[in-house]
Amino acid sequence: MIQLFVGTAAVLGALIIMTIFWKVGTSSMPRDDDYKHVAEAGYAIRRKYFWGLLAVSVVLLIIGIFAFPYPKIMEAKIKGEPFVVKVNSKQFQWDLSTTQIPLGPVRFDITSQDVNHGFGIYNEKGMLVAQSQAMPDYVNRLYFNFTKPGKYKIWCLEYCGVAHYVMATEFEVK
Amino acid sequence: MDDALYERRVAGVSLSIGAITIVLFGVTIFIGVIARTSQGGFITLRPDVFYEFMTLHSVGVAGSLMTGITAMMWYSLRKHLNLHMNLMQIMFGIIGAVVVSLLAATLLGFYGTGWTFLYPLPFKSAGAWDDWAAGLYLLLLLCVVAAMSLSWGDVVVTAARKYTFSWAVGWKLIAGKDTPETTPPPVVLISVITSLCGLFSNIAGATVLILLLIHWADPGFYLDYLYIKNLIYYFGHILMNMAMYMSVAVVYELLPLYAKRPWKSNKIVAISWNAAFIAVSIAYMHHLLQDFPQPFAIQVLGVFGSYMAAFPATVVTVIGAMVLVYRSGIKWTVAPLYMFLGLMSWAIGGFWAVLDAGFNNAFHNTMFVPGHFHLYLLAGTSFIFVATLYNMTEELGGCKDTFEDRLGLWAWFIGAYGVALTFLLSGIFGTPRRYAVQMPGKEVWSAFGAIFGWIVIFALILVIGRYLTRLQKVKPLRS
Repeated sequence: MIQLFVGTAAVLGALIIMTIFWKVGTSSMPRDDDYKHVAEAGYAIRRKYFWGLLAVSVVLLIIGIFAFPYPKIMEAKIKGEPFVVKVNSKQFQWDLSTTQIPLGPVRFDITSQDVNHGFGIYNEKGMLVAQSQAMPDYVNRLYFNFTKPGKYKIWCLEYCGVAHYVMATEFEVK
Repeated sequence: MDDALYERRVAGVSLSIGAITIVLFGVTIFIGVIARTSQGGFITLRPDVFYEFMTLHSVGVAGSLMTGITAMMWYSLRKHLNLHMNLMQIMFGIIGAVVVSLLAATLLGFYGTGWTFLYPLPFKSAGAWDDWAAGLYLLLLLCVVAAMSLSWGDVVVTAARKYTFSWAVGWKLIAGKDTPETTPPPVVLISVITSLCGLFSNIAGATVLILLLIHWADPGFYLDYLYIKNLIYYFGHILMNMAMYMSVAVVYELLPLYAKRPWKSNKIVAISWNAAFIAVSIAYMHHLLQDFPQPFAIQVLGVFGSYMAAFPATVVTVIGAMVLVYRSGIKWTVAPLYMFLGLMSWAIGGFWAVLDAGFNNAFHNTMFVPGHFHLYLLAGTSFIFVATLYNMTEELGGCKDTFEDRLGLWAWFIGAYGVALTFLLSGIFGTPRRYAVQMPGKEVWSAFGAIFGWIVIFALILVIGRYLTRLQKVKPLRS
């Protein structure tokens, strides 16, 4: 799961940043009055850091764009006609055109009748596998390729009022 | 008014605003911890009460931090710019009136959309809050926009009059000119750029709030949902980033005093903060990555802006601060320690924000999001705010640190990191944000989060108590 990979990176990154701050903070003594020399050494590190950060950012940006579930990207990725599910939402319920979905590529056409909702698909382990917004007057096309059969649950991911936390339904993939 | 008298008056107002806002901050954190305790299953709040608490907590923290940091920025600018006392006092007065009215909107009108809301939720509460409360809330936000515009406008105009506009925003430095007589210090340069950014976001804020108020008065007045969503996030995202950036401006002024080394404006600093202006202005778009009707180019720009925001922050400011303290002989009293740890939390919270933007379909609207912003508000902006309070009482009252000061700092540090990390881990495992009752099986993170929240409350009691005690040692400022 991408969440576990990125989550591990988030925690490890935080530990690395903390370690750097700890090392610098505990290296404040003794005072070096030749600040120009200290600054030059620091700025040399800064140049390397800048180019390193730039390289990582460009790579992540490219990976991120291609991993983005934008309809045009997903249409190019998915082979064949997807199974279409119409999703309508209103405070505080989901209405799906069907709750029996076949394995393979599926397109959810999502909209709302009242306020903004968040269409979050969760697998049986309670992990988020796909999401999109549900907005009045607009249709969000969410593509997802189901490779595992089972019961999936939809939870609302956009705060939509006092019963937001109970706005859920489920469907079966087989 | 001569300079000495002006500086004393600024110090007096800043100390008072500091006392009011740190107490208000503590109260709103307390409300947030109660809500988290309910999510953790230790107590049970009715859902409508939970969302009222969530609204009070989020708006209260945003408002108190923004006001407190504005006062601290004003204090840090006192030796460089003669800002208008009257305008500042009007601004603080408006914010005070907003706080009282906000209590009425939430506690009497049961208003509960949270700090950032999406149109048309304020007008479609499913019977949870009164219609007048929605109108009052929007009007209050408009008052905040007006108050902050007074403050930010004054910073820009006063700096432009003293240095000229192109020097004040660093464009002359970028063009290769640099003279000690004309180059503004970093606190001025960053405050001006930040204020300009804030003014732009306030134009969006005022526009959307007026449109929403018209819709409130005339429900037949049509508004495009996607357009309004863009305006709301442009306004809300930048406003919260401004709090952090204003606090960083303060660090540029205060940390050199402890390190006993200069931190001057130069070409790199000017480029980085102008780049930050652009980055923060487009980074808001990552809030709409799950809105597929949004043009694709804007989506890519949103992710690009989020990555770009990391450059000026870490490449220039964080590494600059490290160079400043390395082998400086700095004594780690509580004030510089809060500042240094505040920058660290900014760096970590910013890193998490970049991950959220880059892998948005995995984390959008999960607890990962409050994970990143709680770190950089609860252990970043607020740490620098408190650092300035400690600096003021040290400088003006000769106060020395005690065991309680250090205990407060480390308890706050542990509590804040625990709060942020439990949000983050909870989000990694898919927990949605803003649930009055957690999804089955996800409560354990909230339970641990609540425990860390109470550690923050313990720390805040110590910090507020110590600040009020230290304040009594500051010599009378009226003379």
